[in-house]
Amino acid sequence: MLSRTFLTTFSVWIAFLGTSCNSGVSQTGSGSNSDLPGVCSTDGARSLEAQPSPLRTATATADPYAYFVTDVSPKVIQSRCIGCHISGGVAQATPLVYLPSDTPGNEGSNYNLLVNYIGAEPIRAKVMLEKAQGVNHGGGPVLNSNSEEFRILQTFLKAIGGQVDESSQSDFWEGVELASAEQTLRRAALIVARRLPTEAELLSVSTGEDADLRKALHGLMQGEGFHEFLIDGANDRLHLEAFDNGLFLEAADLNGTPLFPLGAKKYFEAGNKQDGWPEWMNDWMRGMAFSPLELIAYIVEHDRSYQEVVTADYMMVNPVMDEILRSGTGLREEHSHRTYRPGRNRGQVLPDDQLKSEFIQDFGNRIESHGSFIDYPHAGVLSTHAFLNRYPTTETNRNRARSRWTYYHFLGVDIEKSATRTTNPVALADTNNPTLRNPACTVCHELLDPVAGAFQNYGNSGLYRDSWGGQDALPETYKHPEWFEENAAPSLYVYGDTWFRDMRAPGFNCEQAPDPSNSLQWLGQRIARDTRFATAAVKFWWPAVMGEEAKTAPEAREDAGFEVELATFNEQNRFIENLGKHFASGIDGGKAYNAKDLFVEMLMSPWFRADSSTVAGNSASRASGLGTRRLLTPEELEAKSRALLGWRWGEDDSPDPWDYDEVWTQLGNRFQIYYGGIDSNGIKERSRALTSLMSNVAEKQAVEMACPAVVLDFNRPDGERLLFDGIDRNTTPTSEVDKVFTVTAGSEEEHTTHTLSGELETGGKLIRISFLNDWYDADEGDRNLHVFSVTAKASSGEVILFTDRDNRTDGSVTFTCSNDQNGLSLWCDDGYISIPLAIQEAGSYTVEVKAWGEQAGPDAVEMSVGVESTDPTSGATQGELAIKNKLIELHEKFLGESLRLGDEELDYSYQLLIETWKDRASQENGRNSAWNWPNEDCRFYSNSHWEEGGPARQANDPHHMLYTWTSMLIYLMTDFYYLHE
Amino acid sequence: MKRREFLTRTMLLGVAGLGLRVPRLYGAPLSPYSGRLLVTLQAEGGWDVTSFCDPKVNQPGEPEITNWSKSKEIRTAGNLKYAPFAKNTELFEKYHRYMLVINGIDAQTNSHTTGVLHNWSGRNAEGFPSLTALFAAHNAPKQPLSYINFGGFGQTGGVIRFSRLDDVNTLRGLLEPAYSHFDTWGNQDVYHRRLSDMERIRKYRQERFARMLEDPRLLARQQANLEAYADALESKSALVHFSDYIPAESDVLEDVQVHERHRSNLPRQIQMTIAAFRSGLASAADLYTGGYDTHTDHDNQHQALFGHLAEMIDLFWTHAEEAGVADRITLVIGSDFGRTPQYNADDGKDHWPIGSVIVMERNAAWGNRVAGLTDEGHNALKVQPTTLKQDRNGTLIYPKHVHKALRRHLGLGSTTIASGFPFNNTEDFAFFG
Repeated sequence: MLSRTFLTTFSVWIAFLGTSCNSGVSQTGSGSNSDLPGVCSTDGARSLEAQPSPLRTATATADPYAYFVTDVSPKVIQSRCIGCHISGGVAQATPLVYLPSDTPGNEGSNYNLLVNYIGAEPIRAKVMLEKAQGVNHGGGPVLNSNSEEFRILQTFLKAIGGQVDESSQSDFWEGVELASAEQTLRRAALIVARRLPTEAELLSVSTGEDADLRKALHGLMQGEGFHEFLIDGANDRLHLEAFDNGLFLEAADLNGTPLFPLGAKKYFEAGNKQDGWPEWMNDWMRGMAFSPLELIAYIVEHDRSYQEVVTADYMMVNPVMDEILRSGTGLREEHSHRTYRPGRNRGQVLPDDQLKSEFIQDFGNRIESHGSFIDYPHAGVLSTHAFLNRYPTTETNRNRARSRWTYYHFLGVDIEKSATRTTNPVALADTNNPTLRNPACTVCHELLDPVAGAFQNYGNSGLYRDSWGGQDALPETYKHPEWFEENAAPSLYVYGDTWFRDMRAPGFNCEQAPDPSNSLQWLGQRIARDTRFATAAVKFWWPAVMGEEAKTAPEAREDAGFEVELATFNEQNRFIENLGKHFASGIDGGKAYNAKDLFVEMLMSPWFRADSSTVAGNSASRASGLGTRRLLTPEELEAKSRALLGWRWGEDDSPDPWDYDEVWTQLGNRFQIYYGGIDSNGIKERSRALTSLMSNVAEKQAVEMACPAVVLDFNRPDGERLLFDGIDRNTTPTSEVDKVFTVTAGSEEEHTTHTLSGELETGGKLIRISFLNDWYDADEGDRNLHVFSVTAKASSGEVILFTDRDNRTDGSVTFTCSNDQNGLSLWCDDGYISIPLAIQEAGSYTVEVKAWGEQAGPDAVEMSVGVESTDPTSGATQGELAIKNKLIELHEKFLGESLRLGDEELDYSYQLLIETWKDRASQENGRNSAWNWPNEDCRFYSNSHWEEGGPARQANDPHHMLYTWTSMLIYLMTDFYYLHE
Repeated sequence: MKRREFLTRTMLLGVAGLGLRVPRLYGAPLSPYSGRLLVTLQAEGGWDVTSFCDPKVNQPGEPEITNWSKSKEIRTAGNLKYAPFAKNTELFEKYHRYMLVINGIDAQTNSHTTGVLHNWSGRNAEGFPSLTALFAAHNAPKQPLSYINFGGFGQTGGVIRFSRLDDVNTLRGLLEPAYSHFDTWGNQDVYHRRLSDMERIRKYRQERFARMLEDPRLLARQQANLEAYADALESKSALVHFSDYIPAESDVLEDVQVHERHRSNLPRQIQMTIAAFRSGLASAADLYTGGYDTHTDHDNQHQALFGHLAEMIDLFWTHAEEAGVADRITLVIGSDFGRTPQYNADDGKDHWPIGSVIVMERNAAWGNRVAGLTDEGHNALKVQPTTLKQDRNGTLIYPKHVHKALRRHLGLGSTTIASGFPFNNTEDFAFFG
């Protein structure tokens, strides 16, 4: 049954966008406007918490006004609505503008406002409740439909005559069944750890207890795969890999800027760069680009407070960054460029009068002198050069993009969607500093601009105080407009300012940043303390875990599926808010802001685990984007195939210096975009469903990997194989018993006897002998197998069959070198000797084969001897049983599908195997190999595979099972379940 | 037996071999799509139409609206006015008969996100698909590349899925997954797997899909993803034909450095789109180019951008003509919104909600025409929807009006798919007569 650990009713913390504020007090030294009206009280933000009511709760229907006073006003109007719906607030243009609680008569006035508003059109009650949930509401969601406050408002609106929809959310998950603990662990391992779970891990969750599953999930969060999950997940939001896909990281440009003197010197001394920059520059540029992603990964992997994402007083540096930034982490040149350690940036200087450098074309900057290295003010990701440069600013944008994305990533607020969209062209055309004065603009800019101001020290590309003189990052066009236009209006700039005086002061949530020199650090601290930070973290990681963006409230009631979307949004929003609270305080008694704990709860939730529904038409079963079987990303699919087969599609022996990870792969490079991946530059949204082209990528992966995977695996010793332990290449659907022998005798006189024993059922059988390792060299000789005689005996010792080259049993066949032969010699490894054998009574039997070989080459002759049934679908052969058991294993490994003997899906797979096997046996196959060169190809990824004795040269397939298993792997690797976890 | 012949035979064999409820991989081979074609060219960032198709000159006492108007006057090509800027003359002189220019479209926002959403879906609320998605879903839902998106707005509303085309050589290697290489020594094609085996695997896979889809316990995500995969497989066999149409590696058009900050791969987008149209595998495409958000150095950047745009429009029609598909194409060109009717302190222009759309068809009866009005300060004016003349009692033109008219013009107006995304209480503008 559905676990509801986190589905209990919870009062919802409100992502309250309407913290309508204006920085009313000038910030010393930062510039900024100080005389504009605003609604922030001078002592800070308006309280958003519900005020305790001194009155007893009244009954809404009996006395709506009393109910309004006791419940609605304190718990809804004054706590949830007043921030925006107030004179001077961002919702002042709406019909619902309330009096605040400190205004005498507010309760009566507000009550009458609502009674009249609803009385005029009772349907407004329904719209009002939807807006409270976020539907087409400028303030976004402020009440969850399961919350007490929502119920209070609904009850009241109904009591005053409003039309309300009282359908309940409580049955959202009714009938939904979760994936089992084992299935959940498997999916989580593939997605979060990029590997399959171990047997021990699977065993540990077999109890079905949530506690055991939580522990096992936690155990996944380590190692290379988890690191990749963190890097990819963070990049999917921050898109910093754009700097590795064509976008230039100007903030780290050692050619153009002398502000990293050690780097500029190193670059300059590398000589003329007409033919390209030195190799270490790639490590520097990529290191600077990936540093924020590595920071997030470091924080999570080391169980540090997730708040450090915006507060860390360090950054992550690789060896060359360590050298240039003087971080002193102990990293040396011999360390990989992908080794990162936490360190500080102590290698940056200001463009002040002590900095003297000369730019020489093709060489870079020759540094003559520079001032002191700055104590770089780190603020986690926010102060990293890549983050700042990903959202470059301009003289007119003034850090607003940085602010907008800071809100989005770290506070979960999409400002562009949060505010009522202005439709008044006059307002939109306002040129009188509209962002500060025009309500149509201030609706967003009241939030946006103070945070933009907090980025005041970072210039257009993200360099610290990069204006000439190193005092600030303000553009000269603002400070000295007269330099650019003779009749320009005088600047508001005053020497020492670090921010624009015609903008709101740097700050956050109605609080001003106290010190211009570290306002971004201050902002990071404030964001980390904001309750929205925790829920934003859940939303930040939602796509990486769930394969879908977190829901936003549907915007138009007339849209198809509106009700389901709204219900889903409400349920998900409630979950996220609730989980955010726990994350902030410590999940299940754990450390506060521990991201691993957060991931575990996300993986435990029905949003990840919902697997089926026994109730048709419930909200959860109709909601898009939840539960199992989401499309794997190219990175996830590549990792899954690697976990199963042992290598990445397309990789080879040679490191690729052009790739950050030095491994070129088909899914990671060539087909990444075609398989719905992103380049983080122009293409930033992943495809979440397969198209024809994408299905071709999946199929191509399967056909190119399956053949070498099968050949390589069967060449590993039994017990060390990835897929085919316990079965060998000679086990066919008709196999009863079989065994491989090494024939060392080198002449007929020395022939040796090789005995096969086993249990046989009654019926027609075939003894089948194959030569497995033909070899020929013009100088060294020819290796061949000669069978002297074959004897079959019952357990009593009775001989039931004898044959030799002079006394062939009727119906026996010797097929070799593409021809039927008369004797019992096999010259090529394409053939076999088959001898009919009738078993009258079930029991133990032995087959003795006397043989010798013409020995040549490094190995002795190898021979397989088996007894086969003549009916591959009798259900009675050991081969069929072994193959079906292997198919069960493969279905489990590749598809996460648990089958048992007798299951329909197993029978279908077996039927495909039989058809393939029979078809292959009927084809001409000159070499009797896993692939028939030159018509067929099998692409091995390592040159060593082709070396003498290598697996590519051990691909004999006398029983056609290598070929057949290859087809089965293609079938599995293109299955819906393989591509969707 | 030739590879193509073999494929055809195996496909035909499959027809008799399968009787499934849902997927139809072995159903009748898809005929190449031969109906109308739709392309949008999304110039992202907010273009300055006052230097393009809604030319404005400086007014006494007002901030300068265009620098070019200090020395030049508005020009005319046919009935169209255009700014003597960049390569507009070449563009409008050559193509004005193809063009319907709709000026004064009020995007009702200065936000890029909303502007893109509004202009390309017709609504400033999430949920509506792009016009191209609707078009493809109605006209050629089964074609494997029916809807191609090169970036920009490509929301589908769940009615179809878009394909992305990237490197040509990579694409070529993808069209027939089992194909390995051509063996010049043996003068034959080499495969990773026999095609008969692939067909058998595909048959079993399709049968498994059918069984999965019959499960009444499926969640919406599972069902949607299953259907997507089944659809993808149903039409994928036709992809192999695309190799006959995509350009040789040596013929692939190179990217263009538009100006120092902006590089464009529009030539390749156009080349691939026309190739896909010619193959009959596609019906709609979104071309995408950026760089128009010129808050600084506006004129220089727009000069290069509009010059590039003119060249690309010409390239598009030239390729379409050569491919024999020009008569079937409707090309819609637009942006997020416009740019302010004055320069800022950095010689840039900021966001302005009023913009334009250009609809092009070869020798269209409604071509060589301008609809919509703006005043000299580039403010939108109300017009009467039927006469398209200025009318104080008329209405401003919003993206929904353009979309509603385009839907009707493209034959989508009363279709089942479009009815799921209605423009209620929206006037009908007679843009197309």
